[in-house]
Amino acid sequence: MIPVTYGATTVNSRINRPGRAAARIGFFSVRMIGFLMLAILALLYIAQSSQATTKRLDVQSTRQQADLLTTEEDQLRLEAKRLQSLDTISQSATTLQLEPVQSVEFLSPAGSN
Amino acid sequence: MDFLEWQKRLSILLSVGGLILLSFTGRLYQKTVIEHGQTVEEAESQYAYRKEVEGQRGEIVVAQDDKSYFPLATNERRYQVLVVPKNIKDRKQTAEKLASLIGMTEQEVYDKINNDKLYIPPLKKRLTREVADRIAQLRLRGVVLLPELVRVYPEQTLAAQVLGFVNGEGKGNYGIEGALDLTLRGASGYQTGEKDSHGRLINVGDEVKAQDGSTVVLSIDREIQHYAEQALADAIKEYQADSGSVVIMNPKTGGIVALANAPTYNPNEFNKVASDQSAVYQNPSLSSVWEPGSIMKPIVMALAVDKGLVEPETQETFAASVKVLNHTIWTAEKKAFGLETMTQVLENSDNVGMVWIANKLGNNGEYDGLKQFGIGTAPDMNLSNVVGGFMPGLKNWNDLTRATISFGQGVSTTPLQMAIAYSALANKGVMMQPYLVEKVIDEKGVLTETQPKELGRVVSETTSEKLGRMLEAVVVNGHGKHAAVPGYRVGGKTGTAQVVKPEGGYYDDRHIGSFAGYFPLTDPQFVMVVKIDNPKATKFAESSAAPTFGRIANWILSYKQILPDKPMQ
Repeated sequence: MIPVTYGATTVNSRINRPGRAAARIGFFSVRMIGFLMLAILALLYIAQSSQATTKRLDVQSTRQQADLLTTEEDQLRLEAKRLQSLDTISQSATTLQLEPVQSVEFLSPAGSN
Repeated sequence: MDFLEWQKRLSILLSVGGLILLSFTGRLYQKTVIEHGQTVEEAESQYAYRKEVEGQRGEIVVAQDDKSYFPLATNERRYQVLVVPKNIKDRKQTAEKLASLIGMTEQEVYDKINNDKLYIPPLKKRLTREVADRIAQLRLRGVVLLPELVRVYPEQTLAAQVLGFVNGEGKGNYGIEGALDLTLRGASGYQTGEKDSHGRLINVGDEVKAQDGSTVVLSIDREIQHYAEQALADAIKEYQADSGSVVIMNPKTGGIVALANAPTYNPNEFNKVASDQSAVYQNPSLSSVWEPGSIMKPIVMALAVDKGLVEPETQETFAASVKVLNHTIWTAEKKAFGLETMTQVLENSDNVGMVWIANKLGNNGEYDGLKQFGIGTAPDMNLSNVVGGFMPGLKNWNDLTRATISFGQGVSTTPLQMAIAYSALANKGVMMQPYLVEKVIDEKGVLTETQPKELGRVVSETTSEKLGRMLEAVVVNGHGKHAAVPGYRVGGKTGTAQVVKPEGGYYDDRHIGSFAGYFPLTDPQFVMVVKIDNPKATKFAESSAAPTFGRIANWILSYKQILPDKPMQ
């Protein structure tokens, strides 16, 4: 008798391959596989989305920290400028009993460079 | 229960269920379709997060050295104390703990928070970080610290009237802050996201970055400005004057090196200035006009020399007075100087001699020449409140107008205008456009630099040299002796102007002393105008403005390490 085959699959979802056990995929199995795939996809999406959110929050937090450090730096810079202000220097000079220069004598003769 | 009864009960149950479902569907339709916008808004208000990010206002700086700048106006993070009275558990205790930290009495704080409101204006603004930290440590319920950027001026009163200030709404007023408000002001940005029920950020959304304002670099020299302010304050005290101004310019570029005024104020505490004292916000160097008196004489003399009408050595005999129309014009001390050279006319500040020179110039010659020197025209500086004084139109001139204007009466100018006019004499006869803003640097570092601009030649180089020598003679032999600096050639002219009464005529007991000049004469690098208003301890400018000029010039020459251009006596 000549066996009748239709590609790899035969009627009733029975796979007839020489030397292999026949596997049958029913309607329930298809649904389960579909559901599992969907679940995996959903999980992947949630994981990725959650990871992206976490990264964004990390970036946000790092940026906040950077802002805070910039603010600290600005504050220190301002304090430095306050200490360099001419009023502060004048007061310090008075406290240190420094005297302003009364006259300057240049070593170069008048008119020369 | 038979089948019919069961069927009946089931139908009732289904009907009730159907009705409930219908009402739910109706409600859902109402919320999602009819009230869609409002529903979305309500939902967003619960989870949406939006934070406004303020752009920093640009700094106003001056060059510190070749590579760095020093901020005269900058920003500092400070804090506001906000209180939500409804959320406070123990108001008495909160008031007690907060009061001393924010500089208020316990009762004042209690009166403000003793209500059930959700919002009241901030209890205190501009608190420093240290105070904010101490308040935060108290962990008071219903008390919130809100950061804010405030404008601060690290040099306190230095160049206050040049800088102006930023008011409570963040708007620049007066000075550079007011004139360049849009350039200095940054643009706000925002950040969006989603928050959970506890207000914690759970997702970050869009972000529009805030844009900082541009940095404005001034041509002011901080040290010279400071010294000029100090010297002016000392002069006002010593000569018992009401007020005063000092303008210092670089004649080669037109850059303003110092604009000192007294009295002044602290822009960090601009709101402490009494309302009747608000004129102190104005910059009198740019906006206060006065009849300049004798410092106008060298300008008129330069016009006559330039036209070849006189030379410094030209001689003429002058009486103590001269009659013009129906008026008699006298010398300052009603003294006849007799035979004088034109240089001596300036040395003696001879009004009668100047009337003679004005006659030679004629109305057109004097009017056109003074116009070229910028008299009667507001200097173009892109700043508000820069005024141009007053000079009558040519059609209103008669012999008396020409005569009085030649010695600085019947015309008004500002100290800046006189500095510009003298700059032209110092800069080989070429007048430069004055400027205060040297550079503007935007957020991306793009630089817009002010290029020195020639306004035109007002007198020849030869005339400029001749005038330099004549003005030097005024300092060596004339009324300007106190402006001399040992080892340096200094040229200048005193001016003792009478003060005009609002109803006409002049006050007998008030005057304004001024001195305008430049140095070192071999290569003039600085032009300075000193004006002392109503000094009561001295009668003439040679004893008030001239010594102040000399003191500042001496210091500048040492500070800038400019070599002497004349052998020491």
